[in-house]
Amino acid sequence: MIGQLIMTGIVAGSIYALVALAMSLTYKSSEVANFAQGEMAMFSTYVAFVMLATYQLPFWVAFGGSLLFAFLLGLFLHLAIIRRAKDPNVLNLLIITLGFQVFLYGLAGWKWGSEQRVLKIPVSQTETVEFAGLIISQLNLATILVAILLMISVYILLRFTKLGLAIKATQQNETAAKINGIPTRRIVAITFGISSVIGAVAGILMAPITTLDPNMMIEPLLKGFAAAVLGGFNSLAGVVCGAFILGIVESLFGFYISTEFKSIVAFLIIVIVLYFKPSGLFGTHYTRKV
Amino acid sequence: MSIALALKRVTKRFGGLIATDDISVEVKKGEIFSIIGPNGAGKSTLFNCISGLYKVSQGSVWLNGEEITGANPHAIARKGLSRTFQNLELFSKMTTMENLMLGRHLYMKTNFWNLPTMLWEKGPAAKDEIKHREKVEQIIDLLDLQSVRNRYTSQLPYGQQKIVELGRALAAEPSVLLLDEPAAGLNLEEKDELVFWINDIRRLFDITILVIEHNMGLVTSISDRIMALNFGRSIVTGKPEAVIKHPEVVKAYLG
Repeated sequence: MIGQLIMTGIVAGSIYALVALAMSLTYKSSEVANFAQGEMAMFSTYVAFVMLATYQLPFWVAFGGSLLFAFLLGLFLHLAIIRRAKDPNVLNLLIITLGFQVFLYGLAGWKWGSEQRVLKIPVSQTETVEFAGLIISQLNLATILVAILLMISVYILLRFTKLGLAIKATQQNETAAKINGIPTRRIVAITFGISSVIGAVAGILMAPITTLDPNMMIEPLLKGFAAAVLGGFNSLAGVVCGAFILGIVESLFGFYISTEFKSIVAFLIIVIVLYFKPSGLFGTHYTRKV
Repeated sequence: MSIALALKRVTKRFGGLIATDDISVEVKKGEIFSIIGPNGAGKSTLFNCISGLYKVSQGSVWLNGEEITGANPHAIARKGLSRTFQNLELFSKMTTMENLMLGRHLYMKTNFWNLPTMLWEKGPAAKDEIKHREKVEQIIDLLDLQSVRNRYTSQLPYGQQKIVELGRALAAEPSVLLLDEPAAGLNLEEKDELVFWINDIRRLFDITILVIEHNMGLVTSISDRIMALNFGRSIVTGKPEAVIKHPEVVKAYLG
């Protein structure tokens, strides 16, 4: 039984991990926690839905189209809105992202209504796979695999490519990055695009599990954010670990103690962890030089 | 002899404050050109105007005969200008090696699509990496950084951090190099080494070097020409011996 519960936790954790990864990437390069991340993912999922249901396109075309849309949406947020802000401080940026969130939420509600829709995907939710004595639905297995594949891709991108090096350099020292020939503003915009794509994947994985409606990403976003804080916002490996820990603890808590308070446990853990480790479990604390 | 860097009537204002006022200068290819002056004379502002971190208010900047006024710092870096900073701008969570490799960033070609070619020795991505590492090794040898190559730069002594920053600037293979107070914070021994290195760098890499420095001994021993600034204005430009004896320079420094 406990194995099965952990498996459920890992499925939830995969979604949280993607959201947390997306938030942490933009946070690292622009020092702003993008609270529009969830709605951007929701909106991109709707784009996939429209391509599937209205235009009858094959799933993979809709999937690719939705990710492309997500990338452009991320670029748009940075190029057209965040970059326009004049000498913004962190609070201003935070409020800009909240504004964008409200805008997207309203737009989705107006365009598609708040009814719950079904996103059809080519893996089944009812057929199961048995593996090491555990039963897992095809959909949940796909969720875990896609999430892990995406995390590995992000790792490879950051660790080995020219773009990844530029992202890391920009995150660490913008002036030095500029002087070494890195177009830092373009790099930050691309980071927003990549984050948005990661979020959109989370949205598309999420939609069949719950349903597709404008509220679908609100809880995953909060949990993802909580996971990022738990793991330490500035460590990408940390936020992924934080997300899996959160998913598993939630699942165990829900079964053994109380389903009603399942959602609250995430925030309880954060309070306790941050009391003892203010930078999160794996985050490194650093003070800015004046 | 051709001109590597030219400033034409460069003025930079911050609101009502004029940081550099109508400065014109031409630095020849292969020259070591120093800028001296008391604190707040506008030396670092001038460097920031050249490297694109500040936009000049008036006037123009020319690099190797091409106008770079108002260009972005990364674009100017690609045209062959590299620099160090007075207060160090290193990637503190990277090692010495990684910092130097970042100096090579503008020449790198590895992306997500050709990355798998890293797996065999003759693949394009592998060749690219090997080429950059060779260049960086050359600089590590020159600047004696072997012992700290895999240490995080934030853990290094200040003097070594300055050398790492110099190395990173060199890794970009610039045609013009700006050094902002390279000797500040170095001990006597390190200062002597720095003089050797600057001369070596000019000889080996065929670079034009501009230096901001307060240490008169160092300035006079390395420079071909010196420009003295005070209150944002250029007082005098010329041979080291002539400039340091100039009455206005003496007055500016001694009060």
